[in-house]
Amino acid sequence: MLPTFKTNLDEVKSKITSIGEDLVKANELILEALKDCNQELFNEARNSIKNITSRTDEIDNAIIKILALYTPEAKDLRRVVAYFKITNEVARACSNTRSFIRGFTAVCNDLEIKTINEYTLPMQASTVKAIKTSIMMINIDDTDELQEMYEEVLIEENKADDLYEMIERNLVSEAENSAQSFEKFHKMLKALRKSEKIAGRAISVANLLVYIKLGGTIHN
Amino acid sequence: MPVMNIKKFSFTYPGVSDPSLKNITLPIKKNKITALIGPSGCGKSTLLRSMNRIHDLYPGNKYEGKIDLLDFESGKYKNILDIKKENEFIKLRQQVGMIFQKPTPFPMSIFDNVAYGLKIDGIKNKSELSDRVEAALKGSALWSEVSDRLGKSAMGLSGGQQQRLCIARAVAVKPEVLLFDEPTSALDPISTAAIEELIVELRNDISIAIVTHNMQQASRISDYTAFMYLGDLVEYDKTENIFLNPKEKRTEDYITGRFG
Repeated sequence: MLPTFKTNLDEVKSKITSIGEDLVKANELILEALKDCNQELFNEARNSIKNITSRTDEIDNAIIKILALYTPEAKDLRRVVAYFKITNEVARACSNTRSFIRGFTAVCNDLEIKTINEYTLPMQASTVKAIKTSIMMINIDDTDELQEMYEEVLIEENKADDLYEMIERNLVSEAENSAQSFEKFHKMLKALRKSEKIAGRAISVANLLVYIKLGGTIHN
Repeated sequence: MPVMNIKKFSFTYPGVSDPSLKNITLPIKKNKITALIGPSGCGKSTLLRSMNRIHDLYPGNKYEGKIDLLDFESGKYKNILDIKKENEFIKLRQQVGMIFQKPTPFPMSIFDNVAYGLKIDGIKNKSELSDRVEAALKGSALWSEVSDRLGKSAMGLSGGQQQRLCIARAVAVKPEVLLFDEPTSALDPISTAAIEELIVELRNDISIAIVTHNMQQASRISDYTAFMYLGDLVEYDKTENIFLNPKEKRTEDYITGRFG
C-alpha cells in the first residue's frame, strides 16, 4: 500500500474515532445527568458534540478524495465505503443525542426524578454500552475480538429495544390512569425513542465494521 | 519556486512543418511529482524529452520559448534551450536525469552501472565511489537484493530490479530533476508497486516529472497533473482537483474514459 494512501486512510479513521468518542462522552454525561436531572451535565453533553456537521463534512470530502486518487479495491474499498456510511451513522447519532437532551430537559421539569430514573437509567445505560463498544471496534483488527464485540453491541441494542417496549407499555398504562400525566409521559417516551435510535445506530456501525473485515454485502 | 519553468514552449521535429508542442507553459514544482497524462500522440513524451534536451541526440529540432532550470547555487534560472556545448549537455543530463519505459542497464556489472555517471563526473577515488554506489542502491531500495553480487552482470536482474538499477544510476549523480517516461508500463503489478513507492520516496530529495498512460498511477502518486491533447496543454492543476473537479470538459472526458 502506498504510504500516502495509508496516511490518508489512517487520518479518516482517526477523525471518525474522535467524533465517536465525543458521542460516547455525550451519552455518558447524559446518563449521569438523568440521575438528578442535572442541567449543567446536560449542557456539557450538548457542548461535547458541537460542530459535528463541519467535522463530518471534512471526513466525507477526505473519503471522496481517497476514492478519486487511490481507486481502492477489495478490503480497502470496503473500508472506505464503510467509513463513509459510519460517518453518516455517527452524525445522525449525534443529532439523536441532541434531540434526546432537548426532549429530556422538558421532561425533567414535568416528572419526578424517581419516575424518570426508573425508566430511563437502564435504557440509557444499554445505549451507552452499545455505542461505546461499537466505537471501540473501529480500532480493533483481530477478527475474533471484532465478532465478540459485535455480539456485545447486539445484546445491548436488543436490551435497549426490549426496555423501550416495556417502558412504552408501562407508561401507556400509567398515563391511562391519569389523563393529566398522559402528555408528560408521552414526552418522555418521545425522548426515549431517541436513545433507542442511538443504540440502533451503534449496531449499524458494528455491522459495517464487521463488513470491512469479513466482506459479503452491506445490509441496511 | 519551481525547479523548472517551461514558458510558451513550442517544439517541432526535424522535417515536419507543424509543431508537436504548442505554446506550453508549465512549472515543475520543487520536491513534487508532476504527472503528464493524455492520449497517445498528444506530446507528453516529446515534452518530457525536451526537459533534458535528449531530442538533441539528433539534429534539426526547432525550439521556441524557454525552459528555465533553477541553478541551486546562484538561485537564478538558466534557459536550457541556450545550451550548445557538449559538456553543458552532459551536465544538464546529470542534473535532469531520465528513466525510460524499457529498463536500460548497461552490459556491465551492477556496481559499474551505478558508478558510470560518477566516473564521468570525475570521481576516481574507489572508497568514495563505493560509498556513493551503496547510497544510490539504498536510495533505490535495491541494496539488500544486490549487495552480495555487485560484481555480477546487471543483465541478470529481473525487470523490476533493472528499472530500480536505472533509477539508482540516475540518483547517484544527485540530480535535481528526474524524468520518468512510463517507467512501469513494462513491469508486473508487484514491481510497479515497488517502483511507485520508490518514486514517492524520492520526491523528498528530487523533483519529478512522470509520463504515464496509467491514470490511476498518476492519481496515486502525483501532486500535480498536466493533461495534454494534440500538442496543447489543456489543463494543469493539483492532482486532486484534476481527478475530482476538472475545469475542462476534455480533461473530464479523458479521465472518465470517454476518449483516449
